[in-house]
Amino acid sequence: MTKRQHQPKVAIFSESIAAIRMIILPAFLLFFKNDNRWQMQLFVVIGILLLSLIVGVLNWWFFVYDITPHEITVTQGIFVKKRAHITFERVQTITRTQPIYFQPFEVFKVSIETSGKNDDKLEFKALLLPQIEAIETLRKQAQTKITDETIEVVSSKVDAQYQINNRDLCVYALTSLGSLGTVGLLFAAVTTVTEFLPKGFQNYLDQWINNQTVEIYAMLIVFVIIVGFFSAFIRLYNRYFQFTISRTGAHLNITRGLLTKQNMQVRASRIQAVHYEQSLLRRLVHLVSINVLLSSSIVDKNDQTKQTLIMPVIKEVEATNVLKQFLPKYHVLQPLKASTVSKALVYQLRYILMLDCLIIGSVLILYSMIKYMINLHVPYELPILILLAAITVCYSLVVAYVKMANQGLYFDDDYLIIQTALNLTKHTYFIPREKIQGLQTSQSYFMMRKKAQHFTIVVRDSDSAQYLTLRYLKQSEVHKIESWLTRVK
Amino acid sequence: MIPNDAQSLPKVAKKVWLIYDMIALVVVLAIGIASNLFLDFKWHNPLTIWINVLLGFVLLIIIGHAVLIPYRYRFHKYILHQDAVSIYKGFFLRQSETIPLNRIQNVDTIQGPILKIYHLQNVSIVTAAHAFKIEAINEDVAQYLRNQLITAARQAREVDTDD
Repeated sequence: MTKRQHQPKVAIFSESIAAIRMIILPAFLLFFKNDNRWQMQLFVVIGILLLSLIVGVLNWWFFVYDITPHEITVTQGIFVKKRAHITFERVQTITRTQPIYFQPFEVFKVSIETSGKNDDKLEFKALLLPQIEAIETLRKQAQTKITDETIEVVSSKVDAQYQINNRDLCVYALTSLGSLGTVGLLFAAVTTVTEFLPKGFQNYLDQWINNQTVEIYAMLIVFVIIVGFFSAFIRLYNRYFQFTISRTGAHLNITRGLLTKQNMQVRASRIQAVHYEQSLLRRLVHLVSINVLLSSSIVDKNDQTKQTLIMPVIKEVEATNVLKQFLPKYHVLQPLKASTVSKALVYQLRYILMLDCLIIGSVLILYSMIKYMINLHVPYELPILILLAAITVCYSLVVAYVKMANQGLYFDDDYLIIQTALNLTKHTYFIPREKIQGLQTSQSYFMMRKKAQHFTIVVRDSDSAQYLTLRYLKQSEVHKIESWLTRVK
Repeated sequence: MIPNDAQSLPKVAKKVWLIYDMIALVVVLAIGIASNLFLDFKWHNPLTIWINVLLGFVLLIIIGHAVLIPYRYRFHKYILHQDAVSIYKGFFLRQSETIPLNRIQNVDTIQGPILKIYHLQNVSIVTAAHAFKIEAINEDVAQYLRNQLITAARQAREVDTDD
């Protein structure tokens, strides 16, 4: 048993930054209150810095941990003491992140996740590399049932390695549609910032915007979109710079990042499913992204994605061979077209059309009520409503068509492969049989006569479930999968 | 198709569901009366209209739910196989869920005050990803089912992939 210890003192810095983030919004309001008197503003700034430093020191002091060969225990909390024990056997992933301001100190933020829910994880604000390596070694020892001597040999031998090259990384960043989200974020940020600007400047800005021509508006929109795409490119390039995945025995090690470096270790058997993702853009250039579903509560805080990317982008034809090196037991095959009932496409399109009518009808009723209540007058109302309805119907029908055209299904003794499409993006899941948590079916009275069923597979994803649905399958096919799934090996 | 050997819930479950709906009805009516009192029954006030439309809609849903209790009861069944547990719901919109026994993490029994009066329990079957519920079954059946599921889940072989 080791002695209870504190994190390195640089953790105070990290704790203080976290405290500043918590109080930044009220402090911002306080800063611009009081008619911009500089004495008051200086007082606010010093107050924030002092307060965050005190919180940082207290959090650091009350955070202690100790490590035994079998478990790690963390005690934290100033007023409410919280003690967490995690046995190394239960650890799903160990993620170390090194923001740019940590690099001179050679410390890392460390997150240790188990298969439990979101609060069932340990987060260290700062640990030294030897401390992290000691934890990683103990995890490997606990999860590999072989002798210590063998571990020494196994843990040092890398069986396979793949590193993304600069060209592929650029292609990945350029073919990501995250830039549209970035445009939205930019717009939200600009709107928030303008609220805090002095009244005079706000009025000037409003007047300037109101007096511009259509050409200037168009130019502004194009400019914002270009900035959005550019910043999205930089963001992705920074995140996946020198992305490297390596396999050592049954353990995977993923490293990435330019300004913020990140490393993640995971045992291959903890992977719930492998997921190929192909957006419309990537399908045109025959590229695919590969990620995995894990049974830990890990969430990428930057884009809130639960799944862990193991290959940002790779040529479609090479994907299987490269993946085999890292997950040799996975059966990575192209699924056959799902065995649907005849006219399944017609049924799906009809269903979507009915759903569209219901939604558009409800929206129109709601709109009419609001219009009546507040005496709303909109110029070109009818053409605008017709155009919006037509766009909605056309888009949803195209999405439904792509979904049905891409439905695929395959299963052998140990694996189930499901392919589907959501919003024009093709998803293929390779799921080991023992990772499937349940099977759901649904069938309307109309479908009963056609002997058709919708079929859903439940797989664990992070700390919740992922539901993978195929529509209008033949009932006999669903029964085959059901008996395959429930048969005890 | 619901298998012939699937178990129905006890008949008293219908009474329990009706009580739940009645309680919901009373609560929504109370909220409706309180909010109208608060707004002085001003029927031309847009807020009053919106609140009453919304509450009326909720009331219709609850009444519809209560009216459909015999239908829901008739097609709400469960079955415990040797390797899996399945639940079936609905006739016009048929839904089923199957969980292999070796994926079950734990089995919880839940009993509120109304279920206690009628000696019923809800059984919640939890996997690593989600949970599903068999509603309102007899206490002794719930305990038997719980024990059966736990024993079966323990016996089912755990499979690991890479050691």
